[in-house]
Amino acid sequence: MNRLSYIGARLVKTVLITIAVVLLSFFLVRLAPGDTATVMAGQGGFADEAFMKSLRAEYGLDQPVLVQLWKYISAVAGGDLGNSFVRRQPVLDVILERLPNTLLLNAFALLVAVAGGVLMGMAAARRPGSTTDASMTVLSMIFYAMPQFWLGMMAMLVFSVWLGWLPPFGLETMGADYTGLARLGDIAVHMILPGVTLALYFMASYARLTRTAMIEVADQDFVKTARAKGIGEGQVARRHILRNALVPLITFAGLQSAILVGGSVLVENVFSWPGVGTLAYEAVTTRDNPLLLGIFIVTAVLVSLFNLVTDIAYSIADPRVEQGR
Amino acid sequence: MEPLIAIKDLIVSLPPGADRAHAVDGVSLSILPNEILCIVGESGSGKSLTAHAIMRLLPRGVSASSGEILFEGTDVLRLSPSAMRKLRGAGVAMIFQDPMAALNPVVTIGKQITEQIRAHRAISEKAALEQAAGLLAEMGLKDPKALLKSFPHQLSGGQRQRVMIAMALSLSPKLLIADEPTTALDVTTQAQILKLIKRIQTERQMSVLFITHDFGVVADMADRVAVMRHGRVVEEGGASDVLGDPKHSYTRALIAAVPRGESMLQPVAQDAPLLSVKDLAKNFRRGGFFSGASAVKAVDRVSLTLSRGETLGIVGESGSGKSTLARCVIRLLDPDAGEMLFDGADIAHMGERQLRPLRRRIQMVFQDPFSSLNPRQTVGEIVIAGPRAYGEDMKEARSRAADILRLVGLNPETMHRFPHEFSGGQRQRIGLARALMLKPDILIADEPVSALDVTVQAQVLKLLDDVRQQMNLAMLFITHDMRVAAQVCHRVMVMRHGQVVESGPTREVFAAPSSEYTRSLLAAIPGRGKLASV
Repeated sequence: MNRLSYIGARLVKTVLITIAVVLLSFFLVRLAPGDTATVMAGQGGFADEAFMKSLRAEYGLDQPVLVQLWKYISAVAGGDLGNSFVRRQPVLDVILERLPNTLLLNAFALLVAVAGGVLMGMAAARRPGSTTDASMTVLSMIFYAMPQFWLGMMAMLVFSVWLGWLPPFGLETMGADYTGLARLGDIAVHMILPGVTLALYFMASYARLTRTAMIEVADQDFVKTARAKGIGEGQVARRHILRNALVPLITFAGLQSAILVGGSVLVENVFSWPGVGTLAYEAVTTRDNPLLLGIFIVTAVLVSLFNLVTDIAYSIADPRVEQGR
Repeated sequence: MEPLIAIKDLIVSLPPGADRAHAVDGVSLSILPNEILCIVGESGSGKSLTAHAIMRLLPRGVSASSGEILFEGTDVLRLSPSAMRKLRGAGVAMIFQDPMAALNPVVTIGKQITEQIRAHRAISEKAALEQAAGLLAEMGLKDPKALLKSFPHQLSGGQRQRVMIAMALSLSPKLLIADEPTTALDVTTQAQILKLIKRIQTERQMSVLFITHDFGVVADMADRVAVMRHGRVVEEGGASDVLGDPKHSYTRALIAAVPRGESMLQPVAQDAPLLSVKDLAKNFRRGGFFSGASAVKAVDRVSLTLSRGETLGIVGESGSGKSTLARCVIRLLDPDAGEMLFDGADIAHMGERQLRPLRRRIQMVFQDPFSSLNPRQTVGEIVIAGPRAYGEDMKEARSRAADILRLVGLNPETMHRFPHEFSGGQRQRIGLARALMLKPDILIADEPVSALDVTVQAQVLKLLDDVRQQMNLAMLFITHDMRVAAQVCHRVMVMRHGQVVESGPTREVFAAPSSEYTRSLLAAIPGRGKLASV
């Protein structure tokens, strides 16, 4: 099967998955007791039956569920994710405004996790059972075991409050109005704490995975062949061992990019990062169902796309893999 | 003449806790320029570790603890790592048993050859690629330019081994170490590769250290022979001396164990066949969804009959469809077309519920004695599981298991042990006991001895034949090895590309093969006619 038709088939699957996500989440968010009207009435501090009724009528919540579903699906099919109850803006606009921030944070975290994890794993695999190996194992267990929100708060305490090296929260310095390179630099500095916090957990997995893969590959015949050819140890390690050990990492990176989108909810909130994660949190607490559903849909599409990219990357890294098999 | 390489009192130590202290125990050998020395021995003889010691490529924890290996007068065991690196590939090159595993799967063939050339010589990638193309052509490979851009998995086994040899020769080494280079190949491919190695050895006047377990291969290749056992050389001498007049009893036993490819068995009288297969077909589909699916005819209208007390050999190279055929007969695969009459009932398309009572009557012994036994079950559990599944009483199953284990030559007291505590040959006996516990009428043996050493192989073959006689079994014997087929089969059927090329009584097929393909299979048997009867 050639690559284009494979991508076509995968895109069809993406659409099917998205439809399933829409249906499932539409009913799931309605399982929770209460609705937007109760939350709004609660915020107002006072409400009578008539007011509640008018609120529900305004948002279409008084109609039968299936009617609501049908209206929603037809709108989504036309590219309209509806309006946010709370913000009174189109959901798509709200999400698209926040999405770049989340993608930026996740891309940075992915990069840090892969680079750090592979380096740790390589160091550990060089001599299994050595002190370096043992300390890498302990270090990655610590990263693995620490809850992200706690790690985030501690990092904030140490590096922002005590040492004052890094800004504690936000995307950029408020009121500074930097432009151009200065602004990019400002954002980069703000990204370090949340990005690294998000990355550490995954870095631990990469370290473990790289270590195992490298030790396993190092025992294979072609590594012996490489040595028998008289090429240097550095080239043996890079071209023959690492190159093969990286193949399973690609699968993991694909899975991780999907988990990152969900995992960033906590970290974004801890660091007040204006991304989709904080938005999702707001949508849950205010019962902003259209917004929440919109976030689910956008996330589902993203995850499917990440998986597609993973598969393509995998087939490039490992020529034995033919797509669709 | 000065030897090119002289090994003196080499001792290779195993890590503490191994079953013995030394894998190689005081070996002294030398190889003259322009000479092929074959080291022959069974697994665990230390032949391969001796070769690896020359390259200083011993596995982790294993080391050459004393002795010297003089290559042109210099002791390689005392070379610095960088001097050793310069010697590897340029002075001594090595090829391995499984060319698929020995080539890096994610790097192109071209890159793998040029990296060796460029590690030793300061030339451009382009020049190195040209040299590589020339080498591939010298190995008899067609379209070298395209090959350089391919990956190992896109090549056949024979092509891969030719690529390995081309790579090994790229710097014109003085010594080529070939560690069982044809063991993983089909017999016709093996014959070609052996011929190739012999040709380049003569042309380039190199020395070759050839490691093998197969005396047939020795007969084809060796100028001199060294026989190893338990880490020592038990006999050494000129090829014609050792092969024609072996002095050591172990050498004699090894040579005697090599099947000669001469049929000993008379066809049995054909009564009404127990199994009769007609026009059986099985296709495998490739691709799907968007692209057009293509079907591979793995078994293409095959017919056969099998009677009680008879062994039918199904012979073919890899990809011939012989294993697929076996799996269809035992209904691990569902055939696409055709019929299989077993004791009067057509089992080709029978539903699982009807089939179940018949399943116990057709049993199978598998090729790999290591992966075919569940490592977490004891021998007793493995052997008893079948009858228990058919509702046999525990006590009776136990007592029968003891009898069957005794029948296959195992001590019944070992029932509580786990498979890993047994040798390859013993495990194959366990696999046979498992099959026999179900009192089958038909026993399918799928390459049952190809993973075993030659002396063990001879024992297991004899056991299979004894059991067939005692239990009046009908046996379907799948093998790639004509020599083995000759030894145990009354009739043979030669398969190629899913079709039957030729079939008939073993004696007739071997004496007067009617098809070109069968002739080429027979001609490819290593050492044919060169081994003395001892």
